[in-house]
Amino acid sequence: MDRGRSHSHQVSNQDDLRGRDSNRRLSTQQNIVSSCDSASSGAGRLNGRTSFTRSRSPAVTRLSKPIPRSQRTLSPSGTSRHRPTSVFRNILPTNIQIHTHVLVPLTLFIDTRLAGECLLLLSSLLFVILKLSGSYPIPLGPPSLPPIQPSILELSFLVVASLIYIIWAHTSSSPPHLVSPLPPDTPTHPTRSLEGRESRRHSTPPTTTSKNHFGFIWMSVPKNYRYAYHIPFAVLFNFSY
Amino acid sequence: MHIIFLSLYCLILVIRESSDDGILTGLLFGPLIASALLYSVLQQTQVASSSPLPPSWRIEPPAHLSNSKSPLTAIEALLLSRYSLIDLSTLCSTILLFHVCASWWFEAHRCRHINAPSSERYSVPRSEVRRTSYYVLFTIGVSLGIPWLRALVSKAGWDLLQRTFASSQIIPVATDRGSLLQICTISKSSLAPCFSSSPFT
Repeated sequence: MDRGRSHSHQVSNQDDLRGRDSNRRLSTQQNIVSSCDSASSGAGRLNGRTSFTRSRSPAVTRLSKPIPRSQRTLSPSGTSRHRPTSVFRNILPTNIQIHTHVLVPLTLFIDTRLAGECLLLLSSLLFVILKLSGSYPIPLGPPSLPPIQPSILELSFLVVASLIYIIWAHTSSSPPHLVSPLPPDTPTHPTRSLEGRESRRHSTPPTTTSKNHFGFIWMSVPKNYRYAYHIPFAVLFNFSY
Repeated sequence: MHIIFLSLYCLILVIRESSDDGILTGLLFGPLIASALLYSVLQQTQVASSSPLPPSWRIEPPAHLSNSKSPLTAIEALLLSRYSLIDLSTLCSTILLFHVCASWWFEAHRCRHINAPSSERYSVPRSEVRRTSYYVLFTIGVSLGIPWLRALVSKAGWDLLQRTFASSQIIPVATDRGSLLQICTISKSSLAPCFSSSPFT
């Protein structure tokens, strides 16, 4: 709290000095930068204490600056933990785009993860339908009732309807202009930081495509949805989000 | 085989962020689980004198009604409940498809008439009263539309959605945990009036 007050004092000093000559302003800014550096080094010395606070004070944001080499050698595990994740996330492309020409030029633009999920779910359901189609009708209940069979036809219709829906929803006649689906400051690992949680809470699905691929439930708005962000990690390892 | 599918699914879910709306998972995952459960029971029925209970369980056999003419065995009741679970899950998926398609259509219809901010949805009014009234109207429309669709399909001679309403009679007899889950899902997706007013056959 004291550090936050001193920072605001420095900013007000900087605002007051705007009308003065440039040399004096430059020297004042150098003083401010040097005081920030000394504060960050001081914060580096107090690293054990500040790492447990989740406040959004300016002193904590100063810690997000590039860490000096001497300090980096003190905690190598924290930096080396993010490297495999960033390499792993760039294996597949973000989106798949297929151009076809059926009467009119059409573009199928689909997210890679959604395409993989679609392929797996449809193939799994087709596999189960194939397995169930080999089962014989089983007589149940009184003999007057006909033997029942699994509703293969309903499942097959569901597969066809899902396939038609997913192709229709992701096909447009013009190439889409997609913005980045995530805010740039989203953390890359499932930490429980407050800022990451807030950015995920306030994030909304992208709506600036030429055709919005996002399907909504009746009377639902984009703020009712969240990004599918590493939820399986939370489910599998019982993290609390 | 199942482990390969599951690991591939988890890998795809973990591999990167996406703006997935979850429609496809909602459409296909319920019938997939129901079909897998039915298949496991069908495999169990092929084994002679098999019991659906795990061998370590020591509980009494299921009670039968005194006025029942041909009581089902435990494995038959389980099989029947799994059949009804498939029917209910496909019905839920059909309703979800109705939701999404109606939402697409209403958004495209409203988009032409109303000037709203580009970040909002045109079809969702800001007034809570109007939004609730639209929701109630859609509930009534789905509740009336599903029996109408069932009658239409029955007239065409297709075996679609024919056992879905009869399965709600079966559930109290052969209750399955998944069926109860499906009932909760249906009541959440506003189809409860459909069950209370539909002519059971």
